[in-house]
Amino acid sequence: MLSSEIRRDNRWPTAFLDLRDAQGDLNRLFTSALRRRAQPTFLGVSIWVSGEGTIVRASVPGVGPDHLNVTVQGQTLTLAGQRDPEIAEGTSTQLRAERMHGRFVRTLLLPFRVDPEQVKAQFSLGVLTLELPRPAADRPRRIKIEEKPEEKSK
Amino acid sequence: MNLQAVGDPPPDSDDGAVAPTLAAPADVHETQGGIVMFLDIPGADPQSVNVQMQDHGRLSVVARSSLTPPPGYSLVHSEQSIGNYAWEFTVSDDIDEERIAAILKDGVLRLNLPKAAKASTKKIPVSFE
Repeated sequence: MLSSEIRRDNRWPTAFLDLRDAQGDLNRLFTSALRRRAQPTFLGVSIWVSGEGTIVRASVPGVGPDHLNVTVQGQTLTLAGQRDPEIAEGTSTQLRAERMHGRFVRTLLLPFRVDPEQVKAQFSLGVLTLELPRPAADRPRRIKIEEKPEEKSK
Repeated sequence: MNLQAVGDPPPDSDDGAVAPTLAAPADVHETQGGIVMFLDIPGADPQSVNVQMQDHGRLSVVARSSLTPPPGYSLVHSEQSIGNYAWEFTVSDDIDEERIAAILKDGVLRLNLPKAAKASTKKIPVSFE
């Protein structure tokens, strides 16, 4: 499974991440009966693959392309960036705080090498879509099977 | 200001399939001028966003994620849910409903709810008997 290969390389302390995961699990437990799904977390990633390459889609609401930094090296894809607080601290009373702010880094280990020259990145409606094609030499090739004529029995 | 998120199911999608309701994260600030909310709705189409101020300060926000899987690819890992975003808040402050503004930028919906100008405070005279 690919999911086990994805490493979480965040700068947030791991204890905090564990807590967040536990909170997500609890939410899932209590909300399933109400048809409410657990919170889609910031920087949630979906990955699709085909023979051509892979497509990675990440939710980064509130982070414009100027604040995003995407790097590819070999099999490693790194998404980094920053989400600034919309309202300066101390100028308001915060009644609800569920969204994360600050710097983030997430590293994904892709199932194969990608051609960094061919990577396409698109940002729309708070969603980053990356098209990461495999180098032409690495793509799986269909092997033609030749049919050998049956030898005539003597 | 009193905030209550009520699990009111939003309308289902047109094709009859029951889309899940996503409890997405929200920030709510109270400033001197009013209430400012930030709702994360990545992938939501601007046309699908519906903000309504109802009776008794009930504010409902509904949006639908328009993300579709890329054709010809198979999904191997998923952390993103596709469905409806829905919130319901109860706003106890007097809000100037005419001046409510909703701005969608980079997948974040910002709602500005300015407080209504209050009538000047009236001093009640106390009489002695």
